[in-house]
Amino acid sequence: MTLKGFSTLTKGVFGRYAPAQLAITSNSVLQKRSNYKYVGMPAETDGSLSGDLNYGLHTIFFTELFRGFGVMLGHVFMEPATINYPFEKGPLSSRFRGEHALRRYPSGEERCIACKLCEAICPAQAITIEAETRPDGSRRTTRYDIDMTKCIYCGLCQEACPVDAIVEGPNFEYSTETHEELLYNKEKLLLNGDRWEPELAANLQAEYLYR
Amino acid sequence: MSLASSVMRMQMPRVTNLVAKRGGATGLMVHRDTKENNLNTKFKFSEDNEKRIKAILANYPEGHKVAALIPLLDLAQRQHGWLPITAMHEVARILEVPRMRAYEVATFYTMFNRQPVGKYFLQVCATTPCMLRGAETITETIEKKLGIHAGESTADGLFTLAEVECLGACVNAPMVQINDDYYEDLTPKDMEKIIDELKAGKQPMKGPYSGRLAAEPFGGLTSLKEKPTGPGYGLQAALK
Amino acid sequence: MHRVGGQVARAAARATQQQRTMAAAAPAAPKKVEVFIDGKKLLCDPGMTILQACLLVGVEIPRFCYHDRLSIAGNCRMCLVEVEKSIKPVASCAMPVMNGMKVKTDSDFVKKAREGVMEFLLTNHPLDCPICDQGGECDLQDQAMTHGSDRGRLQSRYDGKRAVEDKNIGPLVKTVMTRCIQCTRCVRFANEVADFPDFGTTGRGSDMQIGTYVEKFFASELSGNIIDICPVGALTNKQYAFTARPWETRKTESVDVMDAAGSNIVLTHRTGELLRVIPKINDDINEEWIGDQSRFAIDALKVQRLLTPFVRGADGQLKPASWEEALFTVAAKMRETPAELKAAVVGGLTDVETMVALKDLFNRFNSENVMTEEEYPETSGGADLRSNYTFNDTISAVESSDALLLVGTNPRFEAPTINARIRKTFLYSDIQIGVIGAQTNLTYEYDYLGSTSKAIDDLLAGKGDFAKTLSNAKNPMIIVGAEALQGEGGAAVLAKLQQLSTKLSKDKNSKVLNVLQRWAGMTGALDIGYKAGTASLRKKPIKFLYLVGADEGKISRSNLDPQAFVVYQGHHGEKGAELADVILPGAAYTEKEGTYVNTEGRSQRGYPAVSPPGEARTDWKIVRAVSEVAGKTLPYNEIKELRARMSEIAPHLVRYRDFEPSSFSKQALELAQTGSSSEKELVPKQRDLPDYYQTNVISRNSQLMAATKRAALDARENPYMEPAVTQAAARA
Repeated sequence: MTLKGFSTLTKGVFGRYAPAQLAITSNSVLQKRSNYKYVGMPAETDGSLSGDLNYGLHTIFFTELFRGFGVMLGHVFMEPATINYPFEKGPLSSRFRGEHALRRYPSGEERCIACKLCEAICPAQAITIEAETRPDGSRRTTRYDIDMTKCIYCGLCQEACPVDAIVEGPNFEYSTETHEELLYNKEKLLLNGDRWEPELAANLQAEYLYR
Repeated sequence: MSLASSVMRMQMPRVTNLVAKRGGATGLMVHRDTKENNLNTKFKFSEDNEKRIKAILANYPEGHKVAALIPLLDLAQRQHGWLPITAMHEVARILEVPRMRAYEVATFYTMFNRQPVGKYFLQVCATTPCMLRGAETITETIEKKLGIHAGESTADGLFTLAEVECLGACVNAPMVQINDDYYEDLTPKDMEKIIDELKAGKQPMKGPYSGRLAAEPFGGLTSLKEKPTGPGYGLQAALK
Repeated sequence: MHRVGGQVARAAARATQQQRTMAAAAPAAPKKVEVFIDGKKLLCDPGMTILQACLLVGVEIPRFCYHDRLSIAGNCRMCLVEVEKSIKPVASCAMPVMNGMKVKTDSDFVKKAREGVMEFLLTNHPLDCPICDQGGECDLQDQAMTHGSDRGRLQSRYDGKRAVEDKNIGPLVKTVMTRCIQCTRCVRFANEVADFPDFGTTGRGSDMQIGTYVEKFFASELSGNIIDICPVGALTNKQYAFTARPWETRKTESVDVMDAAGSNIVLTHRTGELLRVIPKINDDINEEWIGDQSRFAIDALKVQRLLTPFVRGADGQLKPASWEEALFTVAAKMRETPAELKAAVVGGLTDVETMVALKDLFNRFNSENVMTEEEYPETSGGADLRSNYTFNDTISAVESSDALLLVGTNPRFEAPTINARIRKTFLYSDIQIGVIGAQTNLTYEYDYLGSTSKAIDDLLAGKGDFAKTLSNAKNPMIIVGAEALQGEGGAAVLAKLQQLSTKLSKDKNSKVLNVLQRWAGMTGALDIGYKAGTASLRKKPIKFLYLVGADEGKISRSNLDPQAFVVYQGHHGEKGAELADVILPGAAYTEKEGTYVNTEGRSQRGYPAVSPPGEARTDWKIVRAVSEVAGKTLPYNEIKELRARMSEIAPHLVRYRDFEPSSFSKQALELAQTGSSSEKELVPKQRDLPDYYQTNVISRNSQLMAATKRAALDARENPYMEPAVTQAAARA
């Protein structure tokens, strides 16, 4: 009796009512459900005396504690799930959409031709482009700004780009202390491109079949 | 990118070759002043041709003088050997049309030579039937004999060689047009003979070199051998 | 001047006209033809093309080479439709409708035909849309999306793509000839509308090119229009090159002020920057063309602008000042100067609002001394009778006219769009044109009647063939340039022309006499009672002079009292600003809402596309501010109230787009001073193309217009130019 009272105290309603009954207590569910699986906390006792006794003994001797130690001990020998960021970094998909970069051709000529498709497609209107004829007659931007605080990193700009000039690279570590530093201009973007070109080229190479 | 550049590499020689070979006679579709062809190139219709112009113009009703562009440009080319820009200007002046109308006509027709050509303008037909019958060997023969390539002239200004499209003498392939005349059923030997005669200032034989009179089969007629039927052939009796 | 294209077209047009007159003479009106378009029954006039008939029922046929205002070429094949009982698809732009014709425009057969044509067109069209300025407003792009296939069979690996070298046709139009699809719209425009026959097609087949064969300048005042009619990006605007995309720009419809025709324009702008001007269709005025000045002079609106007020300091130097200082200086001077020593002069580009406000301001100071910089005779009733200074018969009436006399004007450069209409009439009707003035290339043939007013006397006396032509004409028209009426003897010329027009006028509605003003603001100024010309300034030593955009240098310090105080309000620092003691920076026509009355007397409204630069302000507001500081506040705070005031003065000023017919031409004749018979030279100042480009304060400051003028001058030296042009150059 005492044991039963104890179990009532600790388990509350879970000991009394069968899980099946619990699941259909809601009045809003009018259908009779028969084919389901209960995924909540498993019943600790079936309500019989031996069940209650078993549960009580586990509680008294802290068996959970030892099982917990056991799990912990097991993990000592396993590979850790965490990594030591920033000294270690996890793998990135070649489709990862990180910091923007403007690429160049191998000759050093900038790729961007100021077609303004990225500006047009940008859902956040984060891109601003101004262009004019360069002295050699080619079409180039005089201004290419991305407001990285407006950007939602959807990747539509790189999808729209006909010359693979604007890309979202693998870099995600560019947090700054001020807002202004995140208003990228053309120099910054081209610099990014120069810095990340091997990775950017490798990513594009990896993805070319799917584009 | 790499794919595109490899494509470029593959097609470049093809296209440039084609232009050099086939474009030899017609050239650019814009004018560039050259040593021979510029505004100082003298051109004036001779007195005989002035008379001819009058006769030609008489063919066209008033207000339609522009129709005389082709005959006049042709006349100018015959007089000058080729058609310098000043000749086009002269024709435009006579017909009182903008010069552009003369340029348009002269560039449209490939038989107007807007670049100097030699005294003998050899046009080798290189279209399929002639090619199958050995037009390439004819071209080679000429090239070897004169030391020029298609689209070039000899140093003495006598010969210009061009490869052209079908000249409509496929039954007598291979053939060469030299100035206004057709030389047909050629073998490399015949071609050499023709060039030799031209060099010597003689007029080579025109027409087929195979002994054919015209385009009849080599081994005699194979059809239409019976006597031609007269009028009324095959009509039902009642209509006779 | 020999224009065979013109001659042929004229001959053809005459033939059709004869047919038309014969048809008209026939008792029954031409029978309507019954056609079925996609099953819909339609009655239309015979001679209409299928494409036009389709448009009547709202079916838009895709097309490249067909253009409403050009002849039909039928070479792009994009307009193919299926006609029942025709085994092949039919080019609808060139096929006239026939009775009982059943046209299908949306069948699978048609779709396949269009797809095939599109594939051919794209075969040799480069895939450079990203760097093409036409991208986003390209007919080929749009139609490839709607009618094209998503794949082609071209194997450029084996065939190569066509490439054509670019042509240099001057500083206005950029050419990328590889993009050309040879619709020949530009060639037809050059030959038919612009009369620049040097433009044509050379070569044939895949070697065909559009161009001039020999490199030369596109010598026409309408050359910019080939940019608009080009369906692809082969001909684009050099000024606008690479600057913007159509989807990011805003468009403001406005009115052009470069000439008095009042052409309708669309201003394209983005983020407060004016990018380009394109014409807006208005069949009453400019059809769909505008002159090169109207289109390209806008680069001047970014240079040499007055950005802050200036006040002349004690040392005699103009120094930047605040608005407050400038306004108080002006107001103080205005108050202390006696009424009869005050005067205001407005330039030719001023809007009606500003002129009304300025006149009201001066009237409040008991001064009536407001005048225009441009001269105009005050005889024959002067500005009181509207028929004295407007284009009474309307611009579109030129098309129905059968005899036209041009007196002392070169419409080709004074109003290119009106001239295009005259040329159109010349090509497609039997109009006889006579010219008194300069013997220049006007793009049509004419009878030259002399260079002085003696020729008018001859016409009045009925001497000469052209006098007979005029008197026999059903709808005669006389167009006189405002320039011809200026100076001594101008009044007599006007009087004589009024006599002549009264003699020629066949019915009440045709006024015959039409004045072609030179300035966009002139008709409006005369409408609201400005005195024409600055002659009255010279009678009295003026002590306070208020200039609004008066930059033609008609007034100098020597005309004024030595201690005169000059205020200049305007947008460019030029001749007017040089005189000034106080400069009030105003707005250009693209920066303010303003009413302009064109030479016909049709009032039109322009809208601001961008805001005035720096501290410049809308002109009428400046005048309003001066009035407030001077203690005579004008009773309008908003443009609506000002327009209400305008409608009090003259109701037609706010009846926008309507043509207001003028009357009292008979009374004008009665008031005319017909006495003087001195001979007056009637040769207009603008004779050759180089004279066209820089005529007002805006275009004088435009670098592009200067470059174009230079190109036009150089073109005279080009030995390959048509002889007609070189002859004209030799004459000049």
